[in-house]
Amino acid sequence: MTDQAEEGGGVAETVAGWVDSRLGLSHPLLRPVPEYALNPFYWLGALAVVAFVIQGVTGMIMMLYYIPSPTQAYSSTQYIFQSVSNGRFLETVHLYTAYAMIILAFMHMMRGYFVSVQKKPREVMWVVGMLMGFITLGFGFTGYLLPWTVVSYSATHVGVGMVNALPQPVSNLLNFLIVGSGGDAGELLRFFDLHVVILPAVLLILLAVKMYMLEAHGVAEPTSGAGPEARGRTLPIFPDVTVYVLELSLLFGAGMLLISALFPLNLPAEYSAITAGQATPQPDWYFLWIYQVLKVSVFDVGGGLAAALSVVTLVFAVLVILPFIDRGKTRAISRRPVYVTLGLIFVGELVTLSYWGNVTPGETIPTEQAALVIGGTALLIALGSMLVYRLLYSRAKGHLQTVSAARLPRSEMRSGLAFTILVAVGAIAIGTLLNSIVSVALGGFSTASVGSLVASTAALSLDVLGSVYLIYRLDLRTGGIRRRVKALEVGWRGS
Amino acid sequence: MRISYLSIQIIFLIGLQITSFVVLWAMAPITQSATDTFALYLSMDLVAFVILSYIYRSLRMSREPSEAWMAMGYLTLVILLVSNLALS
Amino acid sequence: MAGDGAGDSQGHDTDESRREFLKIAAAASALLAIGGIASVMKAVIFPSIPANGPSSFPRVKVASVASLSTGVPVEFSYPLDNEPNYIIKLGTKAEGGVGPDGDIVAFSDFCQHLGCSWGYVAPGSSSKVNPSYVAPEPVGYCPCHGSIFDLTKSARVLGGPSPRPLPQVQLEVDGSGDIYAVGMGPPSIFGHNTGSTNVADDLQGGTLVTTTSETS
Repeated sequence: MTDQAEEGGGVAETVAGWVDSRLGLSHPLLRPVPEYALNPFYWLGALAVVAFVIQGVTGMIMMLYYIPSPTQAYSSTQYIFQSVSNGRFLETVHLYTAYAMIILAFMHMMRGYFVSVQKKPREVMWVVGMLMGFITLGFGFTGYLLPWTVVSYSATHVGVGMVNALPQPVSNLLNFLIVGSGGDAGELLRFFDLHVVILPAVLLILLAVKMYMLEAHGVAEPTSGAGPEARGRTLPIFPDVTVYVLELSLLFGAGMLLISALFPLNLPAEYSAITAGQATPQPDWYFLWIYQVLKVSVFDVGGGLAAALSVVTLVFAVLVILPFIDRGKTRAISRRPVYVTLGLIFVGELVTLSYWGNVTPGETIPTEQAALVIGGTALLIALGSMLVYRLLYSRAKGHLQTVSAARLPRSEMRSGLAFTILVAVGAIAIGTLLNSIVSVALGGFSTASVGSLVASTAALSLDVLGSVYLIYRLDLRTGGIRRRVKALEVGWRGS
Repeated sequence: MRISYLSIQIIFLIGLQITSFVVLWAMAPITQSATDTFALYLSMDLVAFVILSYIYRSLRMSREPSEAWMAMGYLTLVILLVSNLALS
Repeated sequence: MAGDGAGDSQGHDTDESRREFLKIAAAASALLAIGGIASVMKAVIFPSIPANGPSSFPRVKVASVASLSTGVPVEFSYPLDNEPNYIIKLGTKAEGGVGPDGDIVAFSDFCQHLGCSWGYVAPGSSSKVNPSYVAPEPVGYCPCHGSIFDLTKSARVLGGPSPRPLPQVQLEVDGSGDIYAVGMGPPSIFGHNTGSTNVADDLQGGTLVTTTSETS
């Protein structure tokens, strides 16, 4: 058979052989990848890099026409839209791929979080990755100003204003980086330089560091652990893994082309001091959640902005040092209910706050409302997550013999529905109760406020009783309450 | 030699790619709708390559290309073709 | 299908040629995909037809030799309705000047600094906003920041912050003394891709003037 292979090799073989021997493609540069890693979830980071490359290419072409000066930024952008061949398409692809890069980076982070890749030995990779995430957000922030439209100028100045509310050394450094000598021209030039040279350079350096560490540690194993046999089944980088990554990348590219063709961009009006007064500043969607936190009325007092920013910074700081907080050894999702629930709550809050920010442009949010929405979302997600964990755990322990995760019997579904309704009503009742407490505290006792106080207390009590009864009823069908509580405890301790 | 079902698919995909290639290089994407057509032909070119490389990769690992993924690939091509007609 | 080995009795032969076929197909597919992406570069970098919009300057009558008096600017719009210009009979021969004395010139009304409207200052006199400056030649004086343009030398900048001279309107006189605007010289008019040397930018962003647009 071998001489048949050599004989029947033909043109393709010789050409491929020539290319390979000259370029050294099959020389093992990067370690072979285990077969279980041929799964899109393992390559979300790679897709973010592909998005970055697309940004680079489209950006470089636009850079040939764009002029970073306040008098010419808008007209040069307009020139790209109107006079450059396919300029509008370029701009559209650039914007949508920017959004895609942020989304992919976020998905990459959350996927890593849920399967606990940040545990030993990959803690530093996580930190470097978080830094890359901040730089990606920085790309969005700096790029948004460049067209010098009403929208972009107003939004950016909210952000720049926030910089001054940070503690002194940080705000001085950031001021130096972004605002420079002051005035619009200096600021625009700094933003442009950051966007086009400084941030890409730093990102590439961090990417190189992360790739080096990836090469050292290899791809993280699946959480259920991979036996030596699965680990042994590896694929060489060239051609198998390269072809796979190419597949994902080209699919992604085709998707971006399709979206850009279907939803071409229109350039908003140019910024001028007059038109800016009429526009409500609204940051781009990926900053809406931060902006929403800032809009809560409790931060309206002096020093409130700094307090709000501290909250946001705290969230980011926790994310960055996460591998040093969560030092447990378990990685399996089923055995980390607390952290998985926290992760789900984080995602849920981001989505809720972003959507809410979108529908309330420029409005101050009353504190009780904010507490209700943020707390309610957290509560709902926590309860839902706990319910799922309880079901899964019961299934694993054999208490629910007739139930499979995919096919709950109708009775379970009914009680599940009842439970959800009770939780939702409970959240509303809590919110109304908080509201009425605040109005009594501020406005004194009046018929209306006392009435609402009594009503919401009653509603909440009924709701709590109903939930307890439902849990008790469910319990009757499957076992003693003590056993259930014990099972939950074991589940919690196992994290 | 027996012409397999798979070979027909491969020939069809290559044909689609050649058509897209010719169209892309011959077109002058001036108007918005021409740009849209250009983008969609390029997407078809890329998706056809993805399907083909999936076949190639699966056969290299001595494994049948799964019908589910193939179906999704062709569905994507159909969506692109329909969008092409809708936008022009 | 992969395992059955097409044509078992012929065995290795067809298996090999199948593998060969697959390799060639994969390589061809890759080349076609790369070629497709390469065509994007062509589309963006080598635009084959200039952009949407009028591509040539109209020929519009703006004044007549007889109607112009020395030192009295007349305003007209050209080439678009939002691009005002001044036509002036200077009284001295000027670069690009038409008419029997070669002293009729026209320039864009927008200062190249920040788009203010400049005013004509006759030699020996001053602008109302700055009596201390006495013009040595017929100049255009911009009241906003003091840019000075020498109208006898294609609006070359004599002073002030303007980074460029004013765009000059190209004029032609026919046998009966009618003056036509037929084109614009660089730079581009302020507000139409300001600072560009491509006069085609003057044709973007407004409606073409088609008939005489003489205003007093």
